[in-house]
Amino acid sequence: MRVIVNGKEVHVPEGETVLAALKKAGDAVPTLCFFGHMYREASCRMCLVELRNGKLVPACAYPVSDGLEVRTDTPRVREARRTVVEFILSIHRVRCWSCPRKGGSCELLKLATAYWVEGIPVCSSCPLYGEDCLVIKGEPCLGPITIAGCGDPCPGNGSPCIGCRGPVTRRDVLEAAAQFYVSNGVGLEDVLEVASMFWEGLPSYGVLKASLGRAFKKALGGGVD
Amino acid sequence: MRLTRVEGVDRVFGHLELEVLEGDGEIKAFFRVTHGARFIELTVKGRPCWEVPYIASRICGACSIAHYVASMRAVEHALGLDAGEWVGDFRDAVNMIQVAQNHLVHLAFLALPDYVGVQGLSDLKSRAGRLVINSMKLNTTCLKVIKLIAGRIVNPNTLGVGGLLKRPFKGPLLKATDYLRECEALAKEVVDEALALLKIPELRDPANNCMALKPRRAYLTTGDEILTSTGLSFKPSNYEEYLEEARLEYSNSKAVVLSGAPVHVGARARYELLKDYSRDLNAPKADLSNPFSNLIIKAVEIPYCITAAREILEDLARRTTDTVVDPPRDGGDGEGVGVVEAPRGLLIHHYVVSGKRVVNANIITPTEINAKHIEASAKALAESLVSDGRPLNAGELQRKLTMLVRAYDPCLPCVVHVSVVRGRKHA
Repeated sequence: MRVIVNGKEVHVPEGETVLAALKKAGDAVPTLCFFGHMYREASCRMCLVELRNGKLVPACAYPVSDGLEVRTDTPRVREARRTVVEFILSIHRVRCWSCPRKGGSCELLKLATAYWVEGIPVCSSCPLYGEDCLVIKGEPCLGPITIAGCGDPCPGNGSPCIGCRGPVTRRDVLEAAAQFYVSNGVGLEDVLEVASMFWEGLPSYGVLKASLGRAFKKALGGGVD
Repeated sequence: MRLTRVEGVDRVFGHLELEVLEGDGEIKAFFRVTHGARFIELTVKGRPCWEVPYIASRICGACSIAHYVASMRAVEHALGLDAGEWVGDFRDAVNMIQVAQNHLVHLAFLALPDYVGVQGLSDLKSRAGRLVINSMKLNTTCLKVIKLIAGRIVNPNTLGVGGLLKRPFKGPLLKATDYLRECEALAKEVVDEALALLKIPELRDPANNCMALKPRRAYLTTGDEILTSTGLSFKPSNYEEYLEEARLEYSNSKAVVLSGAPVHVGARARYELLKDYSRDLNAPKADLSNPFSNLIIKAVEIPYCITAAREILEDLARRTTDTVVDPPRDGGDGEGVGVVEAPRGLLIHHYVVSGKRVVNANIITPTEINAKHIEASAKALAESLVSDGRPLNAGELQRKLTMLVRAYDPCLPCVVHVSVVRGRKHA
């Protein structure tokens, strides 16, 4: 079967998927739910590619046909993938500080950084585990509520996060973070103290402060994590 | 009458103007900083004292380590903390590598084109290609070492008030010494080549007055005594008795004078005042009363710093101990002054701490101290090139004045850390 991937011609056997053709052509597309022949659900939709007729199809499940033309990097594809990341993140339970994939192996963080989706906190890439975690030590590290993507130079070198990339604004993340802070004896004042260094000038700082206040109140009132 | 005005000097950090006027048979020079205000002294006010070094190091990207160390020492002094000998040596080593890197950038990329007679780095590359490439290699190595042991190239984050934030490992320290050992020969080669090209103009320093920090051990380590050529010797905490800060009407920065007279800080001042310590530098014979000789001493400091930093790091790797501290969160009341020999000279950070917050801050940067000295030297230089109120050669005067400013290596973002609004001092 002759397939044209981004203008490059490749030949794959009948019955294979577009993903196989992409691999042969050396064009990588992100996949989350695809695990070879073991599992083919096409549920995450990260591998969307554009056909010649403008249709978006999941590469991991769409069968090849002769003369099929696919493009992997068009504005529509990028837009669609970004929406997909947003959707996945919206139902994701963000508890990066206790996630086993923290410290550089978080797929979602890589995709979110690649498609400019903000909402994952710095903890997702922090290399400090367990006892070494600065919040668990009782320090007001802003890791749980700061947008990830910096590669964690500060916590990685032992100095607490000071929030230079700006705050995560999702309520559920703030609430979970407040729970985490409260359970380690870090108070709202300590967090706001550090946060005011970079965030006080933000137009949304008042709203953020109020949200954090509510989140801490809820956490102190004994919410369920 | 205006004799000349050097506007927008390129190949310096920041924006400045130098104006030379003539009136009533007298020549006057004005060193005018046109860089915008930065408000750092105002920003640190009210911040918890362990956060202040983070902010203070942002004053300058080129020598953030010097600001970081001075700031940490000031806070430690105010809180009565002692970081210990290991940490002190570690800070010295990191600072030395930064001094070497800063000098290298200044010498090879900013100052040298003047002496080769070319416009900039791209032209210099065609005349002295090997020197430029080797300097770039050396620069990369220095930055790599800083990143390896201090966490980041600018605003390092393994250092903290009261000690270190990250446990020092033997591996990175030894790796850093390997990197430094490899580039020692290269550094000597670069400096020899640069010194051969440096033919400094004749000029006699009109105010031969220098000030430097007396090191506790080797040259360029931190210390607790400030020396001057006038024979003064005082504790950094008493600096206010000797140094006067004055606001200038024509400049965005303040100027500092020592007992009313201009004073020079920097490589030349260090070398001249610390004769007991500066033997290892192997400087060529040079007339040290010439302000341009600053460049020669800067050059010889590069290989010295690399070797000395390597020796310190080797020693530290042997006695790696558990120096990690939890940053102090108790605070205290007090006043502290931290002094460091930054690449461009003496740097003073002074904080008043009340409770856990810094309530007042004063930062004196080397260029602030040098401002008046640059004016005095520019005046002397102009006098030698002017007769009967007319420059002998207008282009030559302008060129020499630009070279003079570059020889001091002023850092203007550092100098404008304080805000001056409508003639009122805000910080």
